[in-house]
Amino acid sequence: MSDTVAPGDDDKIDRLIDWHTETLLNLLKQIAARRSATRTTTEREQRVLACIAKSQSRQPLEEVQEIIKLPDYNANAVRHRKNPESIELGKDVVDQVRDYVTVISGMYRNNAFHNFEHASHVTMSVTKLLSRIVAPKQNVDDQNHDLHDHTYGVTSDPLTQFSCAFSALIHDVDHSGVPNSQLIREKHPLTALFSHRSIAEQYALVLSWDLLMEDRFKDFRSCMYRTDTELMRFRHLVVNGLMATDVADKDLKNLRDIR
Amino acid sequence: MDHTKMDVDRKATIVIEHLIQASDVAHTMQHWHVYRKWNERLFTEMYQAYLDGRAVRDPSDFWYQNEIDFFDNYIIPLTNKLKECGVFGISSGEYLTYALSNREEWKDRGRDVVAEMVERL
Repeated sequence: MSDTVAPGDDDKIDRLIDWHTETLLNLLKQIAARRSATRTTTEREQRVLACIAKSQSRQPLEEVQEIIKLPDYNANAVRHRKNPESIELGKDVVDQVRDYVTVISGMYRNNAFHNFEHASHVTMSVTKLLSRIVAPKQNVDDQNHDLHDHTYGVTSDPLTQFSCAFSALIHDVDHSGVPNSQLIREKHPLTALFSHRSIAEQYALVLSWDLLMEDRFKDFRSCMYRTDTELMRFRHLVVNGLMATDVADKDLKNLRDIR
Repeated sequence: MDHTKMDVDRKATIVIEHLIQASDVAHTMQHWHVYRKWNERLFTEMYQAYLDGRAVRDPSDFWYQNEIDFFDNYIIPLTNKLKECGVFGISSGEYLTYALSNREEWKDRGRDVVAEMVERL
């Protein structure tokens, strides 16, 4: 047994970083293709969004939503949707997404299971399942509307899909290799910080969120969300997504079961 | 939010959470070799924690039965819920079929597999 990196692992990590970067960029293109206008946010608007984003709770478990509000079906946005493949996100965005994924990959430890390869395996399953629900190619408004209803709006909101892939990427960041129950037993300093619940999950979210809010990822963020509604939808999706991976918490399970 | 929109959003929230939960344990719902690879890694991680004095019990003592309970109480119900969501097309059927087949194979071979994993430590 060893927690050292085996030869060839660096190549594997590099390939996974490429894959995540490509995946996130493709989803960002889907988001960009749906934006009604080419208007960008002003510096002032970006400051407001950054302030809201940085003011989010340090105990994300408290933010879990019973029901996340997704956008209404917007026939106009669907009709005027651009071809995602024609979207150029620009070098700054591409570099920032790659840098973000690279830093996240380095924040995973070399545990036998809870490592960057696991995060990648989970993200691949997420994108595969998403592609299966998005797959039907329909262009007529009525058919799009049917698809929207059939998939409860998941197919028509690219930000939701982005949030799922993003959540999978970050969900076990800095996992210590022992379950929450052991951290509690050891009175690990993080347990008090997170009120003895969903410790690893809340910690991963706080670390990844703080990183994302650094100035150097400004253009990446602005591809993701441009309004406070979009920002909060992203936040709620990531919070619910990560907390859903704590299957041992009884209160969370009860909340999900009564829904 | 009107009632209908709230129902739709509730279902969307459930779909998203099930999608992520299933993906987190996707290895149990994929080919036996994929399941074995990741299950051994988890065993290794937990055994390392035990050696480091960070686990109460030796995982090899409970691994066989725990896997069966995990399939019965979590994995198979989750794959059924994925199917009930009705939005994943053939994928949910695929996940359910693999989960059931891995459970059966584990039931038959799991004890030997645990012994082999202990040998390899």
